[in-house]
Amino acid sequence: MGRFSRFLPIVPTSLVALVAAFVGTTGVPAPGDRALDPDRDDRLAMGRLAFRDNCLMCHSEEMTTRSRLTEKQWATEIDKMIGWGAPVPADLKGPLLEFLVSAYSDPGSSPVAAPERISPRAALDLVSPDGPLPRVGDVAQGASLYKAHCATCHGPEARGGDLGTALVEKTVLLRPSEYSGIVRKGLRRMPGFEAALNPERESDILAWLRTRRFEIGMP
Amino acid sequence: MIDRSGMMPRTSTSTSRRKWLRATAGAMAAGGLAGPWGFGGRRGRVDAAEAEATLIVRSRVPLDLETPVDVFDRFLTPNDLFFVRSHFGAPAVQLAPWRFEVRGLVERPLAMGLDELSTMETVSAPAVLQCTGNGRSFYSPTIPGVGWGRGAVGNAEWAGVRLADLLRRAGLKIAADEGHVHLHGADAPPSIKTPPFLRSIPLSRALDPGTLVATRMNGEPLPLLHGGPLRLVVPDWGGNHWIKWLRAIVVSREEAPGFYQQTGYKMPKVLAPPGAELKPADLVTATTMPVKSLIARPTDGARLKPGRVEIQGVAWTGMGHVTRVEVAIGRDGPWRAATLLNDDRPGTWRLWRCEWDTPGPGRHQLRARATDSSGQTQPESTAWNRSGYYWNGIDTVECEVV
Repeated sequence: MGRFSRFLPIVPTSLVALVAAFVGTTGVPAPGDRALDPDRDDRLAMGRLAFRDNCLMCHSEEMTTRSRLTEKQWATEIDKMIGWGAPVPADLKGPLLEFLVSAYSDPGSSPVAAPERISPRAALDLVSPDGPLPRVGDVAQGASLYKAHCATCHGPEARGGDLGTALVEKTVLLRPSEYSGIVRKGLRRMPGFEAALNPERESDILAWLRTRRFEIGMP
Repeated sequence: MIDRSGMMPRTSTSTSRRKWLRATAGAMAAGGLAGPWGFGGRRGRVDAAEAEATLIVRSRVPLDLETPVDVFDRFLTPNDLFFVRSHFGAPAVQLAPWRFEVRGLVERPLAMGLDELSTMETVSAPAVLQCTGNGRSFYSPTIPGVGWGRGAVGNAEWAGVRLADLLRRAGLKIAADEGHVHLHGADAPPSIKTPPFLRSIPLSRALDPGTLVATRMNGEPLPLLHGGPLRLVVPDWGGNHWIKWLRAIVVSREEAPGFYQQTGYKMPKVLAPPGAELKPADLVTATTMPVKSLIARPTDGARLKPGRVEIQGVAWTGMGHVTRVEVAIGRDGPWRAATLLNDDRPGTWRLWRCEWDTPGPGRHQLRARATDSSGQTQPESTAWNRSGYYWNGIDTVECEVV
């Protein structure tokens, strides 16, 4: 699997590490010859997907991909993020850590590229309306549709739940085009709802969401 | 529900999981990690003209954008090029008219819209806003967090209502040394498990006449990305206090609870090298900015014609005022005084410049350091702290005379 070969760091393997790779441990397996650790590529692939599905829910990739941290630091970050709501399944924690360490630890073998640039206009566009509201939705209908389809993941008050982020007063609510793209086609762990919702229902839910406010002092 | 999320099967056997991985890997390799937040800007080299009009992306979600330091060749940093930072991203302020409250240990709680706020006396002053994490990328060993370089800082003319006037209008029930003011803004977390960005300042600092609830920045209504319509302005203190999208001020006897006041933004009182175990008593809240200077021009990597070159930049401190800026050429070159330009004014920065007659062709390192009236001078490297706050090491620029 050549595409993942660059993820294999070049480190000397100790006898202990070789034994650990054979025996199998619950910690991060030592990097080594692929012949001794044939599942490593799969674990790295799972880790990469775990990153996509559970980390990019809340923040974009630069915070991670532009960091170069030690294994201990990455492990600490993962635990902190899980505590803050990142829904990483327990059995993917190991592969996620392994992926982050393999890809984002050693600036020598994976130097950080020059950062992207953005114009002030483009930056503001990211959080600005992306078009007119296609129709004025029905707030009451939206409330019950939200409860039926969205609350399980996004929480009963749209302040975030186990699998969905907070939506209250978020700028996506100003962007009907982006909003409906996500609702119809899904995004990462969120499935698409185009079979369950039509444009009218989508706009009803949007109308209800746009009425939500977070209270001062609430977490 | 159509599942197009590409979510990995949860209950499959390891064999079928492996089969799924093979099937998915192709699509993933093609699409990479980039989703709707993927690279929309240009990768790779940016030509000089475009470079001057753009910000450096540290993160897209939330937006963390850094100012290229050559923008600091003037007293006021333009709003468009001012660095952008928040913990969780700008709120959708357009959804409803803004409301602002003053509550807690006050006689007459206030609830007002922007119109009512605009009837109160407005004052204005220039002040330097610096992210407390500015310069984090210079610490070694590497510290997790947004990897700011030199430009998470700027100077703007802020106009607004004194926080003290609002507190007096509400009528304080406690004395200045008896409490704190909690600062609630709409920088809202993505999950109920994520701590909100809630901070407080001592009531004494809230009553300082320089502490403003700002509605304008450089003569314009406070832009959305900079906290509009309302943010706090706390001159001399780091950006973690300049709460954006301000919704409520709550007077209390206690500091704000929660991560961002009790755990975050702490600095060690004593030297704390990597790995040091610190107790809460060893830590203080990061408030006052240390002395710092930046070289705005020449820019890092500049190619210069031989002859007279003007080296220019800015210098500021949270502790008193800047008394001296010095420039050296080369690692061991002697320090020479630069000329401080604009008038000294607390809370804001001073422009400085000095002239350099270049020697023959070759690479040169330019260095700048500032000293303030409290006796602090920028060190070669700021003492390491585990959060990477308040880097103020001597600024260096590499250039080449061609």
